[in-house]
Amino acid sequence: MSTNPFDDDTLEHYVLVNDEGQHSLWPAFADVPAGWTVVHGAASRQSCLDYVEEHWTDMRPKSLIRAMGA
Amino acid sequence: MTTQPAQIDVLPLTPLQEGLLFHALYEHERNARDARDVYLVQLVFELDGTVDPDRLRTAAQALLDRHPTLRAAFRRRRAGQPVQVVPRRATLPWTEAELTGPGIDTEQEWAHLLDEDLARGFDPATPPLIRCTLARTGERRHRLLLTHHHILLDGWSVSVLLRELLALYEADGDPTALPPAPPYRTFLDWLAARDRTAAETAWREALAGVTEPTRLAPHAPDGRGSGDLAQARTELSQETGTALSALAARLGVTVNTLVQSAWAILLSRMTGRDDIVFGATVSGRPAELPGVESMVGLFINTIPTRIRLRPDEPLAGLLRRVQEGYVRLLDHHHLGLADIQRAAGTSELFDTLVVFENYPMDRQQSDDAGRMRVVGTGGRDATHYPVTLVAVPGPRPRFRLAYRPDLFDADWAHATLDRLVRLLEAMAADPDLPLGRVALARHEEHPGPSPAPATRTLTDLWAAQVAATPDAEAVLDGEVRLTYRELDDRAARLARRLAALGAGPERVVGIALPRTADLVVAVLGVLKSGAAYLPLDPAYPRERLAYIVGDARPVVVLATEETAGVLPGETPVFTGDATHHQMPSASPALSPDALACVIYTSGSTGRPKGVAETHGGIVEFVEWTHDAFGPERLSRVLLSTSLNFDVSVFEIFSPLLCGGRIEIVENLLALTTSGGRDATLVSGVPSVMATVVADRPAISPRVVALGGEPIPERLLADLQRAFPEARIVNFYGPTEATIYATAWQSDLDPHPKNGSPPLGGPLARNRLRLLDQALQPVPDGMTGELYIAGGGPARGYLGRPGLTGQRFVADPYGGPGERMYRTGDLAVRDPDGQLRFLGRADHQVKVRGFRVELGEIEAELAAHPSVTKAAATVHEDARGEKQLIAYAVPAARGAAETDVLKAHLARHLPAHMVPSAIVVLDALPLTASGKLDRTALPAPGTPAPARSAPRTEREEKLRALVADVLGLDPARVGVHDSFFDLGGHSLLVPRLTTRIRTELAVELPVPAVFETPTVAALARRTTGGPDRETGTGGGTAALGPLLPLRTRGDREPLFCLPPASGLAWGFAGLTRHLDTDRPLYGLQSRGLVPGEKRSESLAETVAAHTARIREIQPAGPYHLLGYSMGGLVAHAVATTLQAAGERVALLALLDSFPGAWTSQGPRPTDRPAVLRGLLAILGREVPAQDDELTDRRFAELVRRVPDLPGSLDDAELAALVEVTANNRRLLEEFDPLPYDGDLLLFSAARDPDAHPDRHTAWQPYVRGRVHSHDIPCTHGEMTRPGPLDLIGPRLARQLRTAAPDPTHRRNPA
Repeated sequence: MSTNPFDDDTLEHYVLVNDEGQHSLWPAFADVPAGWTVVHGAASRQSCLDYVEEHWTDMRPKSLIRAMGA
Repeated sequence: MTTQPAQIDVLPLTPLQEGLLFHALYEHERNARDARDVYLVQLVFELDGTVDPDRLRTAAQALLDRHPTLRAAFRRRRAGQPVQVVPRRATLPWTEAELTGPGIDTEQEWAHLLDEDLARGFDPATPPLIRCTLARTGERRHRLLLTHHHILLDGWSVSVLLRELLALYEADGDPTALPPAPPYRTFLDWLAARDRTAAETAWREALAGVTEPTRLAPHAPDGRGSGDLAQARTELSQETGTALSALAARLGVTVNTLVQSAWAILLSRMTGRDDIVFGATVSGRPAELPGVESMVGLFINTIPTRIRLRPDEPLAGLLRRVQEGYVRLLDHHHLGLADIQRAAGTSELFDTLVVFENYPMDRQQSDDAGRMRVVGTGGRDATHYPVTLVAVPGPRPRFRLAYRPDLFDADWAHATLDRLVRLLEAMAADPDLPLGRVALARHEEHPGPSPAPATRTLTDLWAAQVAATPDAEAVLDGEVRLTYRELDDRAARLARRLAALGAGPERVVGIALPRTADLVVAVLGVLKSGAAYLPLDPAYPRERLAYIVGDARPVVVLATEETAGVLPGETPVFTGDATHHQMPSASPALSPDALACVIYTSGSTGRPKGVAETHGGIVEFVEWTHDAFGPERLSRVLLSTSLNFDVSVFEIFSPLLCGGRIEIVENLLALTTSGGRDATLVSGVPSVMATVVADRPAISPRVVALGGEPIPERLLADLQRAFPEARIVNFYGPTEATIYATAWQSDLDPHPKNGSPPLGGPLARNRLRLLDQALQPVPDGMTGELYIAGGGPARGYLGRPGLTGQRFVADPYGGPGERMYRTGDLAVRDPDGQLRFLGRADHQVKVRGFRVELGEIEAELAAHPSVTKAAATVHEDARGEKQLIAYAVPAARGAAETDVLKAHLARHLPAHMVPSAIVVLDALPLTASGKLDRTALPAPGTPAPARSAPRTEREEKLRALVADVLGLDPARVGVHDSFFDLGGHSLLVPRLTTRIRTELAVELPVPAVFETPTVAALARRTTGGPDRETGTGGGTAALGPLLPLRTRGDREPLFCLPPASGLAWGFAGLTRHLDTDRPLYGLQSRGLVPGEKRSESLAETVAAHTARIREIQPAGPYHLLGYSMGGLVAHAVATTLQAAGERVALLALLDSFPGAWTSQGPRPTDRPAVLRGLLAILGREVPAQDDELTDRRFAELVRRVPDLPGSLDDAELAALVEVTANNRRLLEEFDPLPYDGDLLLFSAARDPDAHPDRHTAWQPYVRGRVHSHDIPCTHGEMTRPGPLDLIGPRLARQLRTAAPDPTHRRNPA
């Protein structure tokens, strides 16, 4: 079987972030879906995962963070 | 009329011709009556205008006169090699038919004519293998049927013939109207001069790493002879055609490359592979041969085309790469497919074929009004592949898809062609597009009315329900009953206490409680405190609970005095009974996005992961169940699932949030042990439900909700019979998609006619996406990976941002910023729109409904200090039940004890993840790319093949050579495995010794491989060490009286008796066909070692062989096989054994007959005749009768082939001749007694001297039945690989049934 692009170490990836601050790995060959912004890459898959580990420190959606802070 | 002495030419065959001949003969033998030779080709030319039949016939006959190829017949020489025999003259069979007239249905008559012509077939030995039928089908309308065997010519040749036919017709059949035809023979000479080794190497490299065939029809039975193919057609627009030509020119590639690349993409998407192989026909006409374009003959070849695809590669890059790959192999296109497959080490590579018809077929052969014109061509395809794509280039390229109608339907074929066209259009439009952006299907969203996202939380809904039905019964736990008000009251008190202990929104509280009413109080209490609950089932192993507690870090864990003991020492535990002391307090306000619970699931990297579920996600699911089932069906629900699984969320909240009651039971099996229960809804996994329903529990549920694994068809039927009033629900969905994402409901959805129920439609706000490896939607009917989008996806994995970011990913087909969860599940959408689950894309498995990551078991096993490597897999046992099996490679020999390892796993893994068996292996099987080859892991219970790793550099090198010669991954070759067990046969032995000589600079005689066929023993031999493996010093064992071909194994051996040559080497090729635990011994005549005494009588021979057999196997049942003279000896050995009171379970003979046949061979005193016979049986060229055959010439002929006999020295050859002559003499003493049993007889049906009464000759000497099989080969070829491929499996089957008692063990020798 072929490798799912999200698991494929030989492909370049992006890190995408949406308005809720949620992060997504994304294969660079594919169009970036609406509502998402590239914050890292194109880079190796591992580099992207490291970026996510480092930067997505609060996994609550931003709207929840705001609601709880209110 | 005078007859001239027939003058004939004898020519060799091309590889493809040999293959076609073998298939033709094999089919003929196999099924003589229904024989339908798929290589018979019917071509139809539609003729318009006046046709002069006589003139056409003369012109057609002139074609036969011009082209010797058309007159060829196919026969075998005495020694076996096939030849084409071309007579100087052959008359074209010509038939004329009148298909018009009153009351005649022309088309029906025509179809009848075609069928009859087809049934007539051809005998390959009788020339010509071509005939013509001219049928009048109308006023000034004829059809010319040109029938020929594919072995004569290819499509290109047909166009040459048609052109010439018309020219000759115009010229009244005058042969001088055309220039002389370039002879096919020059091509055969060219072919003979090719460098075969270089070609094999090139193909081996091109196909390196291809471990399994690319199959579009995975379950297709053998395609040969399966009848007519169905066809679908399409053509490109002129614009696309022009654009593609321009693109090809710009990139420097051919249009063929465009078509092949498009097919590769299609095949890749259809099979889900990124490394695919399909067949391609090549013209096979070498450009360097003068006049090759107008030669007539069989040039084409079928070669594999292997293409690897990358989603990030632009189309133009792919096209260039495919073109380069084609060019790189251009010089090696002549190698036959069977040889390519052998070089690549696979028996099958593909089941689809791409044919590019690049030969010129003039549409307007002659356009003079009133004269004969060809206005159309047609015919039946000569192919046995399930799917063939034929591309016809032109301004508007045309495509034809020929497919087997029993495997594919017309809709599929048309859809496939549509996609092909779309792919080619995409190429023409934007060649820089990365492959991953090329869509096969258009994205079609079918959004039904979608409910709004949840605005309330579980606690909101609970509060409303308590207010609505305060006195209704909420929980039943044995004698304990709680109303809604009582339950809420207790939960509220607990919540207050928890809040004081630190619980609150986004905090986690563990629950490690037994299954009592307090469990439900705890769940509600935690939620009312604003916190999320974390199930910690006290039945889980201590280590696993410790990991989860450390990972999720609960502020406190609710436990009892007993259950607290299983938690790590430092865990903050609350064991008190809060419910009586605390004053209730108001719940904190929560958002639907708030965390509700954290459920741990198996993790592939060895660490369980916590799925963070939100209030909103659960509420959406629960509200869907309220709509779908209604409060009545949810009024009495069994809570049977452990809190550790999210199905318990369904069982608790769906009833409690609509006024229903939950009854706590230990598990679903409680239904089978106690009396009747009052349950409207039961839920569980199918495998457990199967046990329950078998016990006929006294319940009558309204809903049986199943999930976690597919529902077997039979269970569905059983459930509907047991609970006729119940709706059966098939839920699907991973924990990450919040409980369940889809549902199929038996009374609402179309009932599946057969098979398991489908996954059903998405529920609540879920959306399903079925995407391919390029994240493009897959067309209906193709396998894709399932992604769940919309409302279902959970927040992610607690504290694991990296893991979350790769599984919960951006949704390219949803609203802005939405995510989808990548399930790893494979599914297909059927034509009826229903989704069906097909399996996993990774190594997650389900065992009894439990989700298990094999990687987690592997990581845990490998963590044990005595284990270096570990693997796990699922085996289905004989009853079809899945069992987890783990494999461990010990750090040191004997270090790993399976009991210790199992205890280790039981300490760390929940019971459902502990393998039922652990198998210790020397090494894990690896694929060519070095990954674990799960399919090669041995089944438990069968002896693990000892794939011992090499211990020295010499062993390492030898293993690599053995693997290479056999086309195996070296990891599959253990140093103690026999060359023959691994698939080697005698013809491959010289190849191995040559490689050893050239690469290790060691002279290894061919017989050495027969004596010591393992890497370890050969290493010792080539380094001069003592040979312990066989106990012989080497040297003469290959000529000794006993040839141990395989000594390993517990079953009774098969003993093989040799032909008159006295040599048993040919039986080596049988090894790979027999079960691996069946030893195989060859017995040889005495006297092969020069100077050794020969046997003086047949009785002495029989006695000596019998004695040797009984030394190895003291008691029966015995299995005997004899070839030629060996068959007579085997018969005598069998009757001798029976006379001694022993049982003979199998007597099998290869082309061996009693009676006059024994004296049919050469007189023992006629030395040249003996030599000739010996040459034949050794597979050598036999000189003509009038050629003088001296000993020197004999030796020269034997040594021309570098195999085993070819390696014998002069003295050994002389001894061989003496033994043969001696055996001829002994043969005449044969005086058989009746054998008591059945006889299995294989005859050489293609031998020129085939015994006329071969099927009955033995009957007088056999008390049982004679089972006779004709093998299409000559007498001398019986032990060649091809015939053994037919004989071996039958023998193996017979051996299995002959002595079915597997407990019988032979005594050690």
